[in-house]
Amino acid sequence: MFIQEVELFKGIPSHIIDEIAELVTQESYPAGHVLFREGDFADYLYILEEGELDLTVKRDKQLSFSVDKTGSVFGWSSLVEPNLYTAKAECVKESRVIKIDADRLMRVFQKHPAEGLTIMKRLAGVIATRLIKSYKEVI
Amino acid sequence: MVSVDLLKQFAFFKGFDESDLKTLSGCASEESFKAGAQVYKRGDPAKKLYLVEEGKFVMLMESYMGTARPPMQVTVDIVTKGDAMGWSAVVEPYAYTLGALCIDNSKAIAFDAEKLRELLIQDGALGLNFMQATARVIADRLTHTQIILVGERGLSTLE
Repeated sequence: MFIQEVELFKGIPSHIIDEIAELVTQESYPAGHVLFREGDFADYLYILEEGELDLTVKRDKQLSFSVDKTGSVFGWSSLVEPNLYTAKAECVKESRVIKIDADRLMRVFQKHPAEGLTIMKRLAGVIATRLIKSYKEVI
Repeated sequence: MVSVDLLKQFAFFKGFDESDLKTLSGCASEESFKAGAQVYKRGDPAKKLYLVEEGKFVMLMESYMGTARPPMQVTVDIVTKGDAMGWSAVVEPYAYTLGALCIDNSKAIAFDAEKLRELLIQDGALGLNFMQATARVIADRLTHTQIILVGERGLSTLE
């Protein structure tokens, strides 16, 4: 998967995509692998290439969101203060992900603020979608 | 127009410099709401982003209990002094995701969404800062909602 195909980065000029591509690593994990836990320092933004993950918040009860669509973004806490993951991410199946160093990604945004704004706006949309889903669970 | 000093009081603007706040103050004004006033409804075009100076608002979502009865308004969150409300003003599709009802006489700084969106595009660095602050607001709201969902006390945590 090329990162310019990811919804978050669509329409971003290729010279900036090249800078982002340098921050990317591709990783594969077996089912049951935990990528991060709630409260962990959030240093990477993830994009699902293949497979399926569950994002889970657990207290007295458990709340889960499934990430199973290619191109889905998760780990957005890495770009939002206080930079702590808000859920546990665990592979349900064998999965392949793209991992982006968030600190360096933010520096790319600061270098190219107009494009940074576009991407952050889309990311805000991702968080908003998660929020709206949660509201529907409340009622 | 509101004063830069007033904007500085909000955590939303943490890390913003003086000149950015001055620019932003140009599309802000103060508004007062009486208890019982509906500020906006879910689905309305998001024309303003608010920062609450004083008072209290409840965030409402409609719950449909069959077609024979009118929808019930369920409180999913409470917004008070220092909080931001109406983040949909800067996030597509620019339509409010919840209704806002004022329950205590309140005062808020209102940012004109259209002017604000223009400003953020014109000044990318300011836009990026503003969007990060907005993402923080949405993320806080999500964390709060998740705590309500997974906590034993459920919705009563809002009381």
